[in-house]
Amino acid sequence: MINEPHTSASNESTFFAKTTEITDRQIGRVIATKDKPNTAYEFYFWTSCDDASVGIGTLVVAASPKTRAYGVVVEGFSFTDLESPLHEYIGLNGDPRMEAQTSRPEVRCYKAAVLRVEPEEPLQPVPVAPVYLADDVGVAKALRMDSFQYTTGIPVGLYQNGDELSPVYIDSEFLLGPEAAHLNVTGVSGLATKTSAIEFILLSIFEHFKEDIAVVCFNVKGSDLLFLDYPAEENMLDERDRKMHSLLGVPCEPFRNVKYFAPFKPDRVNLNTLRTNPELVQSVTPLSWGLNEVLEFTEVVLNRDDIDAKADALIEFIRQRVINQTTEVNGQQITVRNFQDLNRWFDLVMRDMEENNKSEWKTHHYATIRKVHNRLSNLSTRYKGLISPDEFVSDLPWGRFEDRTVYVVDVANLEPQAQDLVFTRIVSELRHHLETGKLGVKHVIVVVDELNKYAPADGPDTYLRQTLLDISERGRYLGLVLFSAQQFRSQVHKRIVGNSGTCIYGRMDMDELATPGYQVLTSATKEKLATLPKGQLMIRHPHFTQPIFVKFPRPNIMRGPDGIRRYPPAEDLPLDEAVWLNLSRLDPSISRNEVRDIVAETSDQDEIIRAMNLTLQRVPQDPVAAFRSAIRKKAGVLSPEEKPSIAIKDAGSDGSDPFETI
Amino acid sequence: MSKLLRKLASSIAHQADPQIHVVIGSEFSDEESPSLVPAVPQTASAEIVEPSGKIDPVPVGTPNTSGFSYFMDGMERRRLVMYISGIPVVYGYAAAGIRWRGADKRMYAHGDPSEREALFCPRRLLEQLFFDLDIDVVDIEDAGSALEDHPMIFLEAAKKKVSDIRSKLEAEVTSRWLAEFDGSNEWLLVDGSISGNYDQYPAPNIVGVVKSHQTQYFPIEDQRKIQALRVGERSGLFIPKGRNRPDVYSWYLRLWPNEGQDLHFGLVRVEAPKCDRTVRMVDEISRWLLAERAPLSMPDSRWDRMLYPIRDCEQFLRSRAPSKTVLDAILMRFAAGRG
Ligand SMILES: Nc1ncnc2c1ncn2[C@@H]1O[C@H](COP(=O)(O)OP(=O)(O)O)[C@@H](O)[C@H]1O
Ligand SMILES: [Mg+2]
Repeated sequence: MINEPHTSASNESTFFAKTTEITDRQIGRVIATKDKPNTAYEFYFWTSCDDASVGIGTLVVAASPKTRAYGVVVEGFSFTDLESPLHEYIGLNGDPRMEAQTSRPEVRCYKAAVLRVEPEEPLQPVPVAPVYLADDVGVAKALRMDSFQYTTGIPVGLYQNGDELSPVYIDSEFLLGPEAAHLNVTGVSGLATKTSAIEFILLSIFEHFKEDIAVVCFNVKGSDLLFLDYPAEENMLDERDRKMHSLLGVPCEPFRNVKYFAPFKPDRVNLNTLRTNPELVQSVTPLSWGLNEVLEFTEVVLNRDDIDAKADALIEFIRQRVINQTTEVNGQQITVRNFQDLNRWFDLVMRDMEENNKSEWKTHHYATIRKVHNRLSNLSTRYKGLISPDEFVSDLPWGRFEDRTVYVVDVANLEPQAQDLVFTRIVSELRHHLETGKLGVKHVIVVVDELNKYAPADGPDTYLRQTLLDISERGRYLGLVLFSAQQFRSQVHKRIVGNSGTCIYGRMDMDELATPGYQVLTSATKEKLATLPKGQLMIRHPHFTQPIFVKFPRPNIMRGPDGIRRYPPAEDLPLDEAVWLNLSRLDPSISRNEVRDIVAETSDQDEIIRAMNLTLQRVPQDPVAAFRSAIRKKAGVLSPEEKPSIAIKDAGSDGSDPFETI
Repeated sequence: MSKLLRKLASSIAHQADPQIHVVIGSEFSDEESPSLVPAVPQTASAEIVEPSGKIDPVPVGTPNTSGFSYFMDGMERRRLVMYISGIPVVYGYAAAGIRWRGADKRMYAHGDPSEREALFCPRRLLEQLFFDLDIDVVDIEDAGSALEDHPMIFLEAAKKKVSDIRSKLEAEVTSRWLAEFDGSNEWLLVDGSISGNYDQYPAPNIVGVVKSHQTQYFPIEDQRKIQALRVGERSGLFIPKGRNRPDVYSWYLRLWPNEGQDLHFGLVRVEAPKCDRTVRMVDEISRWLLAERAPLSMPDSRWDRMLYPIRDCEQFLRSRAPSKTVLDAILMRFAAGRG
């Protein structure tokens, strides 16, 4: 008699029986009331009280005969017919232990934010209709993955779909450019699984991205990224992790090609990294820059107040007219290739002025010259270990970057200014090489953790922050992409996180969630973020009109602390031991005593290191002999009449023989 | 939705009878009080059957768990929808249904409720018009006794007929339940009086709770004792007289204290089949009813007498009944189609 609703329901089910993506998993019905009306952007539905398949983040489809509205659950409510707690109190005689004879009916209602409506036009409020759990096909449609999943899709996680797990893809055109780019991960340390998430996504990119790509990771904290090429400790991963890897088509393995770079400690022989266990230290390349490398970045390394227009003019003059040239000062020929040479050049210039009683030299004032000399000559002392006073240069393989390779640069133990220099110069070089198409790969991902430290929302405007801003604003056209992470997104420069096309949130801090940046999230979503278990993330991606919750597996990569336990860092070696150990890389049979004697005979430590580095670069037949002959009789600032015995050009990269003048 | 009205609208919409006058937006009244309850206050007599021979209060003991698991209620709605040649035509809806309380203490529908919707009018005056239409029309005049030709008299008669139909549906639903559960340990609690027509069942498990006290069965001295009942006390057992249906046993029970309230606040009159078992179980049944006070049926205005599962039944029936808005809409379309 009064049964139209039933009739229409059965019409709907026959309609859906014919379609593929809606299964029999009906879990609710759309409701619309005056208080909670449905719009084109959100709708409400109720479910049975016992339904365990729906929760915040669940993807659902409201399907009427003519439309399908895909939505994600963003809020849930439950209520009974009880209007006032007082009624309960009276009914139970004020005794909470008393049992009522009847359970009040409890209804579960959910609010879903619309992800997509079919047909898309005209945009109308979601109709009152049965609600189903989305299946694989439904998930793909809801997240608009159907348009890129098989072409530019990068699987990043799994959406828990009832008992099933459906892969969630993000679009490489929006992750790695050119449409949009960059990834930012936020969440509480140790719980948000930020580092692990980035590692897993990188592994997935290596597996699924169709073009060539390399990764430059800055290791900014302890041993975080120093064992990327080692599998996780046994028992770290469980069956679930392995299954998730296979569902996402990512091999459950560590990175295959990882190259490590670290500067020296101030002693210039021991590497300033925790990856110094004798078994591993061979795979770490020193990061050591000379005058050429640094002079481009004087703005970064000099105190800004020091470089007035006059000083700037002198530095520019040195760059253009002194470096890598043979010039004549006060009747004396000099070739400036390194900091030691530069010191000598300054000496000559100042002696010329003093002897000839000049107050200016080539329009540069004496005071300016003294000041610039003082600041520049300080650099190799201040950045000892990173900036080499001599011609030894060891750097990332510019022009020879390899596909599917991770370059880890360990800056964890550098002081902030030196970190600034490393970041700024490496990113500038990456940018420059990508611009000219000469890096060796077309795409590079730069990974920076602790972004709030390097690109804070407030605080001084550093070169590093400028550099990061530059990547985030222009990088996507060049193939230069930033993957960053931090605890508190609100503390990072707005434009940097704002330019991040894809954002991931792990377990979040409640105070952070209370900041204005999270206002768009419902309180249930915030609540969920504040209690998110390890291995679960919320993703925002341009194709998804609402944030989506996914799970991801523990990557099969050794965690930093486990690596340190298994491969404890070596003690710092004394100079003679370090020299012997380094030279024996060239020839394991060389005599320890012979090397020790040579070192003992030479009083100048810098000269020993210089000779060792030259020998290492040269790779001679007889390393000990080459080492001995590379040591100059007298080190330090050479007398003006003495010609430099060695003029090394570009660390031998142009094929010239560094020993040519011997 | 009312199928009946829609059918009516489409069948007579295009009849060129100028005498149809549609009434939109008139009240769609709900009869709240249970059937079998007199509309006006009256007195009647009673026969006390309590072994003591007195109506005096009897404590029933401490309530624990209720023995009821089925609950029955009925409802009716009626509304003047049109005049045809000056004769009022009333649309009426009546339903009765049973709800079941499971072991999980939740309420579930026990089968579909019985429903009926019909038009109520004096058939002799409108015979031709509804003739042939496949519509349920109830004659408000009993065979051989024509009413006076007065619209108000017709309306009163229609009201009575809708109530009769509701009573009939309630009786049907109750009989079906008895047929299904006779001999089991299940008990049915009904809203209002029980009819007592259970000849084939010697001791049916059925109890009625009457919330209104329109009929007073005792002289004032006894009535005072009833009014003075305290929570957990019942009156002596009696047989209400002056009913035109079989005898039942009855007693008064105080559910909530009436201090500062009306004298009848929290007072119900219980009816149970006239049999020895009722005499034995009167205290136990009273305790069951006291146990049913939680959960409270607030915000119902009659919460002091309305038991929660009965209210649940009522809500259930209401949720299925045609609403005023739906009727308005149909009638508006009907009127527009004619205009
Ligand atoms: N997918 C995962 N599921 C469960 N635990 C994980 C997962 N990924 C990482 N973990 C664990 O969570 C902890 C923190 O991970 P990490 O990536 O270092 O977090 P963060 O970088 O946010 O501090 C580690 O002990 C790690 O083993
Ligand atoms: Mg981390």
